[in-house]
Amino acid sequence: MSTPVIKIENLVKRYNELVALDHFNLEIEQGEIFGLLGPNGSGKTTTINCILALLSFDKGTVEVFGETMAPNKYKIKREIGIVFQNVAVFNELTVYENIDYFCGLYIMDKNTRKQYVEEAIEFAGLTEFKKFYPKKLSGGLLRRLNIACGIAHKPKLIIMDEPTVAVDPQSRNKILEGILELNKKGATIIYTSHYMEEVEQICTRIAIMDKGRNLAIGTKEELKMMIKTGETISMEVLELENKYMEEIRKLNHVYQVDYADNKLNIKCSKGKHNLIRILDYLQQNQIAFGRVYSELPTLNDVFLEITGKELRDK
Amino acid sequence: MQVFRAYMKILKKTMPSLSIYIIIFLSLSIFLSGSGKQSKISQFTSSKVNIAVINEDEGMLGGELKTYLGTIHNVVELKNDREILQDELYFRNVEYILLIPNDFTKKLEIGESENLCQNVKVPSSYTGKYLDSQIEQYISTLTIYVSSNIDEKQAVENTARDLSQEVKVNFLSQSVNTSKSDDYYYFLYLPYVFTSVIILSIGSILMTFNIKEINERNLCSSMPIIKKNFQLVLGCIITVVAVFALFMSVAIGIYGNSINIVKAVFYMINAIAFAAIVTGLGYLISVFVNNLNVLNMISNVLGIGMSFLGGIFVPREVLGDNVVIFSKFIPTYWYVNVIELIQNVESNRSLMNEILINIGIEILFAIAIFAGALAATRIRSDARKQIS
Amino acid sequence: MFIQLLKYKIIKMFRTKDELFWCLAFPLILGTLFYISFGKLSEKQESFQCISIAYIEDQTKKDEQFETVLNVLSEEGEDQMVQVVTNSENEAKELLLNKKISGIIYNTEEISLTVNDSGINESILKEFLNQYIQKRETIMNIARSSPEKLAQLLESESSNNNSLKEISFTDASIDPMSNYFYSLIAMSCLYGCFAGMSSAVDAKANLSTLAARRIAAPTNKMKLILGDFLGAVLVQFACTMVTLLYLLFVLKIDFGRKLPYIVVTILVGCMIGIASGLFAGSIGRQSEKMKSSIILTFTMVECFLSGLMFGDMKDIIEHHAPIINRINPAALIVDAFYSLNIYDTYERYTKNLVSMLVIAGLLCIVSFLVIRRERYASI
Repeated sequence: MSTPVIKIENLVKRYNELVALDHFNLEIEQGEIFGLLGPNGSGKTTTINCILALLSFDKGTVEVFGETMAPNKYKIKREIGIVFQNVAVFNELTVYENIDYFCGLYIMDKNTRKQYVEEAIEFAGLTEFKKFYPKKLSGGLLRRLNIACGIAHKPKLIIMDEPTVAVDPQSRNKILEGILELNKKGATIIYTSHYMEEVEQICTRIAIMDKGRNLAIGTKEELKMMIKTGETISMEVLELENKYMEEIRKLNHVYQVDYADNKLNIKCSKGKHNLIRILDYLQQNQIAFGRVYSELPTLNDVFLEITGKELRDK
Repeated sequence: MQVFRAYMKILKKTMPSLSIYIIIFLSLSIFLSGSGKQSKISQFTSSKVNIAVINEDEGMLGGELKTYLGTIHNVVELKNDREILQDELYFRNVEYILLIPNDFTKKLEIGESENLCQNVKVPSSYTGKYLDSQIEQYISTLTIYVSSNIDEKQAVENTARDLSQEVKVNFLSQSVNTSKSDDYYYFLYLPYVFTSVIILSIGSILMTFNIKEINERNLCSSMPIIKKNFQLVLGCIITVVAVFALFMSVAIGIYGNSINIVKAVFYMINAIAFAAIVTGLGYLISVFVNNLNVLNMISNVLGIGMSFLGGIFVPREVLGDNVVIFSKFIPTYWYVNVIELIQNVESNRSLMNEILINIGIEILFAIAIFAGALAATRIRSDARKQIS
Repeated sequence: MFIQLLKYKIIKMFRTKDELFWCLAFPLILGTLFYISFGKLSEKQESFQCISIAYIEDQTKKDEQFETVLNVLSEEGEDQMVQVVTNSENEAKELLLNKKISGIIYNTEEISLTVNDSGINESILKEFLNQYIQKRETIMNIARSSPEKLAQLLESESSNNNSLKEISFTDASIDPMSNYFYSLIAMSCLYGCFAGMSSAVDAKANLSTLAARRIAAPTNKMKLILGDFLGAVLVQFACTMVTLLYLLFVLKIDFGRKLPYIVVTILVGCMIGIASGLFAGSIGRQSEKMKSSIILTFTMVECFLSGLMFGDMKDIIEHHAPIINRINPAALIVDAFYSLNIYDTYERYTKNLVSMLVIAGLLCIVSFLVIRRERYASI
């Protein structure tokens, strides 16, 4: 097995009283698109800053490409591309100049750089806006510029901290496609976001963190397995007496039943044939129903269940 | 009072950086009141100066000149070494060097009068000119006596005796001192200090309100612009009052015992009027500036510029006539007028009217600038609407 | 690579238009103000300006000779020294009280002067009267002892006024007000602190995300900072050179003939300016606002002590606390110009320049050490 791209062990970071990272562990293999999920303030950005050796930490180790990360490990830094949450570009420089500047911090050779910059501009769909100043760009274009600045030098590891905040669906799709494309070309990607659909769409592996701890890690399927909910069945039922509800609740695998506004929601834990069993029951008792939906758990459910529960606990 | 409350909160937040300005400028004005006096000593109060006399004269008259100068100044003995002399002059251990050449007596005896001695002095200093005229007077008097064929010793004696003559100087009123008091300098330099401190403090707070997004958000709200401006001005006034109170209490602390009450009251009114002017200026500037560094530079240039043109840093007498006419358009001119008049108000109550007129003009300045500033916020907000 | 960094820093600075504009405009505005404030000052001090006075005489006991002299001096024309406004004592006192005249000259039993202030005009009047009565004494003595020579002596006396010759240790002439302009140049150099400060902000990840992005790159921090530093110095240098050229060719201020040395001084001065900004930006964790106010007040105090507001301030410091003049960058810059003009040797100048380089170097090294390996406790 090859060395992991990133290996974080027992990372502890405190801001005075607040523990931002609490014995945090993480391993990311090459070629992954790794989703780092967590509510605001859960420690995602802190983790990233520690990986980049921007931030000092109290305990633990951070290894990137098998080497301990440090501010002057330029060889490692050369292979990392970073897209920060906040747009970090020079307002005084044009789109082209900005990308050229940041690319220039990585790529010495002039011709290579020129080619890379052009490629990045094309990648981000900024060709028409080369001469624009950042202030004149719309929100989506600005985000794309922010990304272009981070990836122009073709890094092997790309860290993206919520790159799609405040971006319209068109731009977002463009960005997501771009990320997949970069990944196809061999880049390992760390991706943080609040948008579950995005993460579900592109990430190969996901970690959910909260309060500085890694709560769950795995592929999305694995994560979904971890939670109680297996299937949510909902249907329109005009009238439902309480006794029937109680009986439904006692069916196999059913663990939660709600009825309101003529809508019946049934949550089932893992197991097969849940839908058929419920429909059978309703028919037996001659309860009329319509419009039946059966939904498998989304990442959103996973996220809410894992992090939400944590919050309730405390 | 939402805007006002926000202003006060920001004020509290900016307090640490403001206090740096205030502390520095406060110490500057105390320092200035002491040293301004020193830098303005004129020949009226003739003081002893450190000088060097290098006498190489083969005759006796050179020595006599040196002795004469020794009676009115401190003659520092120095070797005739160019390097040493340069250094001594450079470090102001001596302010004037007189070189008496070996043919001084000889030349003087045959009645030659050109270039009898050489001097090196601190360039363009008052002391230099003062000493020049003393030495020239001595040499010319001595020349007359020597040429009249009397004994050289006698000539030297006569010269010294003649030069001890001094015109009698009377002062019109007893209160006129040859040197001005420290409080005069404290208040004289106050405009510079006020301009810097007040523009920086209210400007840096108001700038926050003029940030594009915040300003637009304010404009969108249901609060009339007039009301918003009024609250901001109120905030400014409170800031300025605080600064003013601080500077005045320092003044009272230092000069309170020695100062006449009438003088003190006028000083205060004058300072209030000027503070009002710079408050308006600060408000006006903040409308157009959105960069802290630029605000810093503007406050600096305004402070220094107005102080020079108004006759604070250099006495008005040395300004050109045209400059003085121009400087009437600068508030510091009127402020300084009042300060000068206050010096004599004790002995001449009729000056009170004039003082009030000058202060009135300052208040007019303040009103005009405030009106301009409020109009500017209006125009600017309108322009924004048209653009976007 | 380095060129690239430098290039973009310069482009960046030129596009920060408002700041650049003011950096350029302020020295020019102040220079012009200085110029109009005392452009004519030197002439004014050398030749007497016309002073308004009152002249009161006692018909019987007056000194006729004095009246003649006074008449000559109050003749209208270029050389007019005094203007007699009134001969009435009451009116004179009134005028003097209201500062419409500078003094009252009494020509009665003895000549005396009444003033109400102690400014320059009063001093001139006093000095003039002193010289008159001293000369009168001399002439009376001669008239008593050797009357036959009197006429001849008086004649030679009137032609004699050049017994002193001012020499300088160098042959360059010094504009009387040059200290103000030297200080102005020093200020212009030190205004580089603003550019230095933004360089620091762009290099400290805890001050801006932009810096975080730059630091995450594999470029050596030394290179980053040096590129920024050099770029800022060059732009500041260009600004100050514009100021210098303006003073030299538009206002025609005399800066002596050692122009190359002056240019070098300005270059080093700009280095100090940028380095102080860099320094203030690097050390400590205060907010940008705080840092900005610290560095500005510092710069202004430096300029103040070097004589930007009062030309003699540097001399006063030299008397009381000479050490300040040795370490105050503004004073060092002013001193360097000054010693170029005063001395024909370069020893003092070199000393100043070396001190400046040492200060700039120290500031840079400390800033660099602080920024270099830093990991931040919080971002």
